[in-house]
Amino acid sequence: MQSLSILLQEAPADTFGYMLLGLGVILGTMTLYIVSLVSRINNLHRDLEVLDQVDEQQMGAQAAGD
Amino acid sequence: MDPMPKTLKWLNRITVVLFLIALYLTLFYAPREAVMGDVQRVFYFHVSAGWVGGLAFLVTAIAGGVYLARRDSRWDRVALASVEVGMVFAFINIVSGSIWARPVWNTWWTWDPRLVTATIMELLYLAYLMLRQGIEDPDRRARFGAIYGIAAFISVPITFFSIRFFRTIHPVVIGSSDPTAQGTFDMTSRMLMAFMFSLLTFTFIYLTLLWHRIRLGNLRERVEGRKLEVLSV
Repeated sequence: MQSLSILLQEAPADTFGYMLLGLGVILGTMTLYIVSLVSRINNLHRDLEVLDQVDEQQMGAQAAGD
Repeated sequence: MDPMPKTLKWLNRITVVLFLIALYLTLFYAPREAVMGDVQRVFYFHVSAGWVGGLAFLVTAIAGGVYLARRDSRWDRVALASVEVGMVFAFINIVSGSIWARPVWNTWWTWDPRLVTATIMELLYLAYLMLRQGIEDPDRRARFGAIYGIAAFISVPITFFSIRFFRTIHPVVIGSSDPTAQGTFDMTSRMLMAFMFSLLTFTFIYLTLLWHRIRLGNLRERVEGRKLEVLSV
């Protein structure tokens, strides 16, 4: 009965809100993933900088000890 | 870190342009579906996301096979990167399908073979990530990951064929659908154009994200190596 009523409808169902929600979720999820990638890359760059600084300090301490 | 390769920079730009065109085709070029209305437009990205999920898990299985043959850790990083990107798109596929189902099936979720197999596939790859987290030794982690990635791939063809083998309400838009399917429709040439372009665009998005994720894996490897160097002094 429900499928029959769909066939008899004159205009397409008003599902604009669901379309916006669907596209919003798709775009939002992709954006979140890209943000997560960028954030992880930046954190690793910071880690590398800190490691370089620690290395330099260790080298300096070693040179002072010699 | 090494500067971004020129090819990747161009791939970024091409992907953004393709995505904007795909969005235009989906929203304005493709006609409104006669029964379902605007929500049918979700279909173009929903199927494309599912395609990318399957492609990504295929790449994981292939990379796992190559790793087992060559024992080169670069292939392990490719497999891991592809799982991560594939999971994002498989998630998009499931959630966007659920949003489409609400006005068309009158429910957010039903225990249909396609929905169940797609969810099991997603959970299998979530377990892949958990398995890797639980193994300390890098060689062992890569070996187990490769074997698991190959075995888990069986879930992809099962998910794809589930709507062709089992009685289901999920429509098969290309090819004949089960007579009990709800929400099936015939594509006009404009719809087909938007659909094919979305598939191409999402393939480019996958390749771009995969490349970035592999570079992230390489950087992480470099940081781990540097940590060992600094700590061993």
